[in-house]
Amino acid sequence: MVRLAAALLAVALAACGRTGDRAVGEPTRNLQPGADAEVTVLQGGSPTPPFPFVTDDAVVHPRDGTIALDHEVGPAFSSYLAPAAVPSPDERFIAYNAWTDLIPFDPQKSWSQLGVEPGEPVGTPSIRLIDLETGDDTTLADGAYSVAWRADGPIAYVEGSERDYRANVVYRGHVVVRPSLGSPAEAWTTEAAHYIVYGWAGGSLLVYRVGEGEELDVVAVDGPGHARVLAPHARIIAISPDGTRALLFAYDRRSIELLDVATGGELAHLELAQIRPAQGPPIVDLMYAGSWSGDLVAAVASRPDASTALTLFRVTGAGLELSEVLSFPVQIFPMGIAEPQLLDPPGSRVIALAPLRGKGEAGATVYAYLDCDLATARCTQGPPVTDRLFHPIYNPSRPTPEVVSGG
Amino acid sequence: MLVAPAPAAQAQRSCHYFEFVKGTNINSTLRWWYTDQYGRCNRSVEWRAGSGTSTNACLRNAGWLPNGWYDLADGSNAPQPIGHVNQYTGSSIFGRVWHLQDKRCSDGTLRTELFIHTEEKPNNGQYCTSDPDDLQCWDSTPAYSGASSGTNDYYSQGCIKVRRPSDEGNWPDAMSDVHSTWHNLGGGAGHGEARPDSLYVHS
Repeated sequence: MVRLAAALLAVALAACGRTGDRAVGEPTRNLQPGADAEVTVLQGGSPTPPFPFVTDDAVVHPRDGTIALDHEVGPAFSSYLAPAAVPSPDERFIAYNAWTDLIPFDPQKSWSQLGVEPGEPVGTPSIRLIDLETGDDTTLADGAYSVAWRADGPIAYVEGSERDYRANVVYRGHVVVRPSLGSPAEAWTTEAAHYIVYGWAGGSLLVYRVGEGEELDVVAVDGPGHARVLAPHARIIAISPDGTRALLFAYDRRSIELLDVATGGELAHLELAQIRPAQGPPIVDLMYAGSWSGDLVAAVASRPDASTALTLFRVTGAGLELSEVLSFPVQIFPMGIAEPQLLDPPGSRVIALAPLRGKGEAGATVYAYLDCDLATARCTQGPPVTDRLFHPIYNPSRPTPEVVSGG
Repeated sequence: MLVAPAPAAQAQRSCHYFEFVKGTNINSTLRWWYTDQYGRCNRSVEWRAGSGTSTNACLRNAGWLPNGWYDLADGSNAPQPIGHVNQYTGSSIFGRVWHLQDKRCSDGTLRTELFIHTEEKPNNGQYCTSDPDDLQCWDSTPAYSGASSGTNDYYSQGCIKVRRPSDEGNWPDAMSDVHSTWHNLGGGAGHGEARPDSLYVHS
């Protein structure tokens, strides 16, 4: 059921930003290095987020309003690590991760309590495509998940070796690429594994290979049969606007690393221990799924008291420095924030997702978007969303169409 | 030993399971429930344990374990572990382990290939170097500036971790205690077996 009111349709924010709208190269505001602040949270945000979001059954779009989806959204394998839904470069389509439960969804119960035998099929991932012009909602690939859409058209995803996920059986598959929507898919990996596609960095595709204990290796796939480990035990924070570099957090080495994607060479790094906020507890971890606009990168950091901070890094040439730390109080955000998206002009505004206290649909949490002005450290919080999930719709692939067409 | 009812919703079930009570990522509680000679459900001593680096259980590779019941995983999840084994040789995890079933969190995200374990060699020894975070050593590194020695290793990508002594610290041997409690108080003598409802996780 669409929980967000139909009234959302009426609101269209002309000034809303999208990942693809960034004016790359614009000067950023003059942040004070090392500036720290705790955010002030203001209630009363518009029911329509100023950025596209997806719930478990609808797209909520500042331009197009609320669009009901034909299938349940379910990024079961890729949630938070990669977008739940990705806009096409021309913004006509949205590709979303769908999921079909083959057994009742009850996360409190064990497989045995659900009557599931090991190896029994329990769910089917698929990738679906909603056409924002016609409303058509069709299957792009069955037994598939996680999408990366390149500015010039190629679309990549993971195609499972089997259609269904079976209880306790690692869901292995291959990274495949279609040159365009209507083209057949070609496998780019030669060894089946539990991959998650993140995004294109120019002509290289950045994917995760998930291992034991949910360890993540970042793999660059340059073409059919050409995969190389870019960084073991690492998380992708963001890809540079020109698609040549990636900022990663190597969590075993506790190091934030700026890498040249083509060579894998390290251009700069910062030790996590060097990040010492002037206020609040220390930073103990850095999360994936940040964003990069102009010379600023936003990433969510964890603290020992379970609070989170929005860390902003400035990348200058091959240099990397901490620019700002905004703290989000744990009393309001007990599960932190996630998926921060920098909007235009670079460095002035961030949209993020915040799980809140309370119970939503099927025992899930309650969510809200946050619209944060970085200059004042004020965040406007949207109304509570009780759907099972709520994620920003974004395309982390770089360069964006504007950069490609503009040279 | 304390005598208490099992979690209400599950009191009718067999009383032989781990309970993980969430506190913080590096300071939560693990205990074992077992049936005594009078048929009462008792809880064992408890151990400090950690899980994840975030309290969002839906974050793969970072969030602590989602709430709910877990079976010990069956061997169909190749390449290796089956239930509880003593000398597991993985790529990141080694030694005494309990391999947990895959688990969906409240938004449907699937958490996979998670364990209860410590940091040790496959033969249960230690390999400690000058690295502050050796894979097969319970390091003395504090979790953060000002934290106690030997607390950083409680952090994980989601697995439940308990401490053991190492070359870097003579801490109480929680892992050996967990292991012997499991075998002596109803977990069974066997190794490499799937087992239903072996862990209950809650806040």
